[in-house]
Amino acid sequence: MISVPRLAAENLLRAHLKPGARLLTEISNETVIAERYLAEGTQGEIYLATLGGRQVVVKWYKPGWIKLDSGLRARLAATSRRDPPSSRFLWPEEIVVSPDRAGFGYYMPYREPRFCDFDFVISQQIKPSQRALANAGLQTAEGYLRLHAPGLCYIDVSAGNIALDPHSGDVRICDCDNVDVNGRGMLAKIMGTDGFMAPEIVQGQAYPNRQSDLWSLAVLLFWAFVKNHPLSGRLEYDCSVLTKADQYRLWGADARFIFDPNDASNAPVAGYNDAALTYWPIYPEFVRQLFTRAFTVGIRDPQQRVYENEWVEAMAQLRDCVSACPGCAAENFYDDTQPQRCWSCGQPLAPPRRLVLPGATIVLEEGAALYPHHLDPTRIADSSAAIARVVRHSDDHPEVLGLENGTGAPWHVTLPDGEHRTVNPGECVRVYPRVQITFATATADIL
Amino acid sequence: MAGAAANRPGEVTGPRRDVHFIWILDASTSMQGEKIQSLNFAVASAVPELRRVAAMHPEANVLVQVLKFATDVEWVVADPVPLAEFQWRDIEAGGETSMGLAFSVVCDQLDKLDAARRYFPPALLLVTDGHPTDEERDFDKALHRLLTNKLGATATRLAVAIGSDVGPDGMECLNRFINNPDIKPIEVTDLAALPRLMQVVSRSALEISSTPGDGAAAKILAEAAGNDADIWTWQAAKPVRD
Repeated sequence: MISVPRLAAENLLRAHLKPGARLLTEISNETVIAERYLAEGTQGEIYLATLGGRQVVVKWYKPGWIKLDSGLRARLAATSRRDPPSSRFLWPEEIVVSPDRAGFGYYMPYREPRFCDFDFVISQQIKPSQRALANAGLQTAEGYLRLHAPGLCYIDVSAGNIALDPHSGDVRICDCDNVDVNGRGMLAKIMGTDGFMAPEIVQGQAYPNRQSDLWSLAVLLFWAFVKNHPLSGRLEYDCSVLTKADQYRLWGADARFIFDPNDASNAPVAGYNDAALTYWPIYPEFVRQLFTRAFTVGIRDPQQRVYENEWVEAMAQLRDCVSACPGCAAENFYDDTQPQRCWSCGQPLAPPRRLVLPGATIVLEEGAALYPHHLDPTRIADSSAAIARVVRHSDDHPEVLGLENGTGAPWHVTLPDGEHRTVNPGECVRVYPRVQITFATATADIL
Repeated sequence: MAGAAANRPGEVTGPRRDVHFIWILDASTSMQGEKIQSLNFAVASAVPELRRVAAMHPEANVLVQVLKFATDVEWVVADPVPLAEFQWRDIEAGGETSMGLAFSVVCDQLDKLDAARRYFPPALLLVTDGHPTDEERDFDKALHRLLTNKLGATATRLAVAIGSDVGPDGMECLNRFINNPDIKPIEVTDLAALPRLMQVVSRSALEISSTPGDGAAAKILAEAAGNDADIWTWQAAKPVRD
């Protein structure tokens, strides 16, 4: 009798590794103990594990995936032999195997609980400040810069593979097992994550590569800041029931930017794209220009997409101009080219206290910071730690702010009345107009 | 999940579409006793799982209904209820298995929905312990109507077969209902596994409907069947093989 297709419940509910399963690292022959099942994806299962006294995470591949992705083991071995591009990557350290079953996986560093997937930002379950988001955007773009520089590509940039600490914006780039040499072609079996795949990938016209990584990075940033997919507007709205075929068409052959200045056919629809209509205008022109390029010429010409370092600089500049409305506390972005109103309450905004340097203007509010590239014109923006922070003087006078010297050298300050002061490392200079600060390599005025 | 509060008063959400999630539950005589009670428990325990998925997909406005079928077909919840407000109420069993009639009633409901609203594919989750007792012609007609209905055709259709009495004919009906070679009906013989199974299947149905372009959730269901026989569950104590 021919058996009718069915799926036994046990096959759906099982995990592949039993609690306490002992695995062995392939090269160094160390024992890794899989302690607790954490999650499941299309490719494999994730387990909390220990190696010696160290907490790590194991990804154990499903047999079906191993069969499908024939280049997986070789690719993983090559990746684990390379050093991670930076400490922000949760990189495969070594392949692990089991003494009593076929198959393999790998272990990677444990992701601290303070990090959560970008998915939570996009679904608005967590709401980082604009400052933290700008930090996250900067670190993510810089991470991909470091990955692409030696000729690699990530292939699956998506909100599920990047995590951030919502307070600081620190990021961790996870799931690095798809990493491959750029331009190698179809050795990875994964094409990306729906919603993030570049139009040429969706249409099967190209293999994932650095250029498609850049598309996905732009989508992630747009979604995080504007809270709407860049291609989701009138064309999507007009679909009564949005099916898989519709989404593939709108992400592929019919891809059109919702804010294309030359094509309003996919413009946002009031009542459907309210987030896009609300948030797009609040960002400074220099950011909107990058998004526009990414999703207009960037649709058809992958070589014209926004590059990693362009995003790094834009995110750093965005971070510098975050400015809270004195009335409703909504985060606005200071723009010195025109009078401004708060995007949330409509109150006119006077120019905020800010530090003016030869190459940058930084709004001085609580949480703002100076970075090495501000003071050294030979440096480009990067994710280096702050060297000076704006702090509150005391709880009694929260409106009194100081700029704390976190550099290794003293600052020489000229006060409005002409008095000179030295501000040593650890000390603060009061944020007050017409104060002039002389740093080791630059002089700045507080306006 | 806690996070730094954004200074963004008056949070505005992105695009939203309705997802109609409909449980279609067998309440025939053979379901009486442990099976219906286990099913009651299982559906109730799936609701928090649905809420968790819905939280990750704010673009999906999930509306829930429950249809039970025996000799007659009856809406346990008459009008679609927003998931946040949905409360499961235990159902009782007794009667025939008018599955085809249930499909017709689902179609009637789908046809009533406001054409001006925006939708994701509905999620239809069918649970049965046997085979339909409708006249074959009526069943075929009703199933055809569902599979050609505007919303029904696009729907995510999953099926759970409880117990060992479904038989090849019953299983064939479920495959025809699912109408997708990559997705098979799920057979559960151990009632203790039903709650966990219902969580996984309900979650999958909602995931697939809320992200129609993303094949990942459907792949989890499709690929599970191909795995080897060495199976461990984290809950059960199994003999350790050294």
